[in-house]
Amino acid sequence: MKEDFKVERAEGRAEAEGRGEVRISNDVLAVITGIAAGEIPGVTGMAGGFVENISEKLGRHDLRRGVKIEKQDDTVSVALYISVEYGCRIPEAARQLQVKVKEAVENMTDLEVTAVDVHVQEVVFPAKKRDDASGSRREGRDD
Amino acid sequence: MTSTLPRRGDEVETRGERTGASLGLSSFLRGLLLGGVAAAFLGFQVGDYLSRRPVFVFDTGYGSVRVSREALESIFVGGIEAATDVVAARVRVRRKRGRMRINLWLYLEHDASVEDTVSGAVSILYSGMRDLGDTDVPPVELVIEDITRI
Repeated sequence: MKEDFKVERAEGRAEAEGRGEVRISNDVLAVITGIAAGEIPGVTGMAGGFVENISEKLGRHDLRRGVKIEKQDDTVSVALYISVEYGCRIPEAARQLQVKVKEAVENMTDLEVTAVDVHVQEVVFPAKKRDDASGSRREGRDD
Repeated sequence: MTSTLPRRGDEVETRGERTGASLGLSSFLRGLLLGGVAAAFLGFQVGDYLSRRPVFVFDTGYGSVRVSREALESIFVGGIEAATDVVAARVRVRRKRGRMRINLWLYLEHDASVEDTVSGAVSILYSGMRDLGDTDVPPVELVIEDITRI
């Protein structure tokens, strides 16, 4: 029965009218959140834990990194662990991030987002960011 | 066909046999090495956890914003080091019982005016705190630990 579909590994849920259930996994919500977070100016990236940092160093880019989703019935609360660029106004960037994530998740999944908690874990200096990208920490200092 | 296995009562020549003392020492050293690695890993994890604990929290209506100790220290250091006559700065932030304690180490140019630089650094600290949140800045205890001319 194709119409009576279910996705087993799912925790978020959206009702499809009379044709069964659509369940959206927490991983999908985390990916939506991660992509939305990347679009905010001033947010340089997501801050992961020890294991996530190691897998990032090994070249595995995970969009769920630094995102925690908690679901209760049809509501979702999101916790984001981010790093920001030095000089950006954190209250403004955080507010933009919260609005963007709330809109993205609600538009795409029809779930209600009750809270988006932002954890600013580190501040990245522009020079450091540039050095990291080029793979050299001493670039520009030897001149 | 003769068997090469020793029989009971045969004298068996052994080479490089390890005594109980050497066995004990090697296992002790191995344990010490493993213990050291485990302690270093644990220490790193605890340090990482402590540096990422929030020290500044405010609410925007959509949820809370929590700024970690490491982030706050980076903001302060960046602001102070951008000032003229400051070669380097080190800041340590602690939050205890609703108060914020900031320890400051300043490294200045050899001909810098200490009064001007310190007052500039202090105003940078306070303006940095005000810029962070729309809510009230918690009471701050500022301790200037050291000023060094370089």
